[in-house]
Amino acid sequence: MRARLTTLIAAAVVAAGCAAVPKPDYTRFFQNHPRSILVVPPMNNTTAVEAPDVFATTITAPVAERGYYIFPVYLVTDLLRDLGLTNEGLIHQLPANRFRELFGADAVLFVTIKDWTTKYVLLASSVSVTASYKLVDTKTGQVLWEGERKAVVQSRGSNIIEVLVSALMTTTVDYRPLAREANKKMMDNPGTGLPAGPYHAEFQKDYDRYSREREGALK
Amino acid sequence: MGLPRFVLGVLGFLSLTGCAGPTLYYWGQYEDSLLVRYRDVSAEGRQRAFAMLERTIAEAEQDGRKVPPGVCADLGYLLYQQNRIPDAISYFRREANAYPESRYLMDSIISRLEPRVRPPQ
Repeated sequence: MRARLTTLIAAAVVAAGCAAVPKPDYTRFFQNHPRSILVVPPMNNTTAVEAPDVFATTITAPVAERGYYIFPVYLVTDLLRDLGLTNEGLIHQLPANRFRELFGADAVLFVTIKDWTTKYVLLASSVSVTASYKLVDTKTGQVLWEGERKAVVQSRGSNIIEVLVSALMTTTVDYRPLAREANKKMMDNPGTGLPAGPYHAEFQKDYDRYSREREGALK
Repeated sequence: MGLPRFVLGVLGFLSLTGCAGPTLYYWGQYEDSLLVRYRDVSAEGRQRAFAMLERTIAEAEQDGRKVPPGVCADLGYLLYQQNRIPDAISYFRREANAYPESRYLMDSIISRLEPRVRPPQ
């Protein structure tokens, strides 16, 4: 029984991953291919107070596994605080070259959390996370890459309702698998994700996978 | 550990292992070490994070895997918070040597810490 529920939930997550995403323009990205990425504390557009901190724990691995140096998120948050920058809204407004001066970062990734919700209703229950991502070059201030991704676990049927309702009583929902899923969809996706960085074997060899012309030529 | 947590745990496991090839780095308990500090800002939270990071680095070395970006710097920061300045500096150096992209920041941190370890004249 447990195995079946799990399979259903996993299938729902996999299915949600297949939505078509328009292909971004990577011209500027490849002109300013960053080696290092600084992730600043996420903006929170939800009422879930814990969302930015929990999200921040999941962002390092997907960026690093694409081959980029990513600055230690916890240390970065504290260094910004030491500079009096405790407000995410203010941090996200800073000119990008400040992050080059302060940290030596090639690019800065701004994340905004747009949804962080668990819904318990009669016939279907769901947990969802949506985040938008914007990578900005710290030399030119130009946006190199951006997008928004959603991850959802949906369930139907009384058994799962019982499970989720009991969750409400006994423990808190762990959003990290959803945040990881959103990050993975955003970063690790040939054609729309982050092209390989300097620590990845594909660095500078995968440009054609991210080129619009190439895609057009194949049609 | 309730059943829902179990389900989400399995789901997380599937989403991590289902389609992923071999990873570039050994991640160990790095994510947990961040979460424990966000949730418990006391010295105890930092102590738990410290143990997790030490273990992650030790396990990576044992398995001959790469320590991920930021992990040594993060451990250096926890050492700094314990006022173990020379140890902190050695981990900041290790981060800079493993990842030259971090050198600018690591050098600036180290240059601020070094005066603290010089013997008083």
